Amino acid sequence: MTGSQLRDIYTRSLTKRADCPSPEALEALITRAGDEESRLATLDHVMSCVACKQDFELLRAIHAAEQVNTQARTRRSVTPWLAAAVVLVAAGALTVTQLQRPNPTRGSSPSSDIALVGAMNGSLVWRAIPGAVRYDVEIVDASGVTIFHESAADTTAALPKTLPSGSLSWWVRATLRDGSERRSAIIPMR
Amino acid sequence: MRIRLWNARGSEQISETGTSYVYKTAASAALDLIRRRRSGLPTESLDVVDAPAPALDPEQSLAATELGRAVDAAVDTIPASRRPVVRMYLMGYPREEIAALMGWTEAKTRNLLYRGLADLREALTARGIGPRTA
Repeated sequence: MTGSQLRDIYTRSLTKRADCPSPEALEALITRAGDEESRLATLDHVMSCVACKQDFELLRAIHAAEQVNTQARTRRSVTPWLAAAVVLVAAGALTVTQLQRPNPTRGSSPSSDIALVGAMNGSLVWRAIPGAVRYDVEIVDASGVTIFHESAADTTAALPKTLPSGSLSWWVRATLRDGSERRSAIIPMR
Repeated sequence: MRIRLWNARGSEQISETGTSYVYKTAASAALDLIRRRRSGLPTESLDVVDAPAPALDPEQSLAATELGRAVDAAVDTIPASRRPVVRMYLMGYPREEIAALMGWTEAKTRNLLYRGLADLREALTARGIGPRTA
């Protein structure tokens, strides 16, 4: 006898049995409430009684639908929290990046690795340092807002044609071949 | 059930908890239906009617009934801890569904099922019902 024949014989031989478990016991079986021994006894009856099998499937279908709905709701409720968490982490990372960014207005450990020469013939000029592959020059106003930025491979940057009036300063950041950075002190423009 | 949902429409019950209330109502209505059916009271048209099994001639029918009784008796000899698992398997449920229903691991379910099927094979063989030989 094959497995499928055995299944066929078993399902055909099912009848309605006596002493059926209560509807609450069927519900407990489906919701996994109560002790395992009781649930196994209920299951043993259900799987050998045509009427209880039918009732079991009815309750099971409702429970399965509720589970699917609950999972979908959980996903929906988690998504805004997840989005908020991502935003917070991103904001935190941005803050850290900004704090680490060399900003002369904060006076954070100014170093004078790069010697600034000054504004000459419409250009800003500074001394080269060994290993530099790029220089970034910035002009900032009195409140620390960058009003001019330019990247250069050599040690000069043409000044913009117009600059706002008021107190202006400038500084240079060099990026070295190994990825590290050096920067100048911030000095007033004359 | 429709009446229960109609009465609840627009109320906080159905608007706040939404579909959860609908499912609770459906489960409650199903339990009521089962109670009524068991007590012999008339029910609404939710009864599922299985398709009738193909007709067998009297001799085949008798043989099938006898074989069915023998298989049922063999299943009854399986220890209670493994018997429901074997019954579910014979009813066509996959192992994953058995594990999910009982809250068991896949390994535990597989172990109980294999041991239960071994018990069944032994009981069937003792009744002269063996595996088909080629």
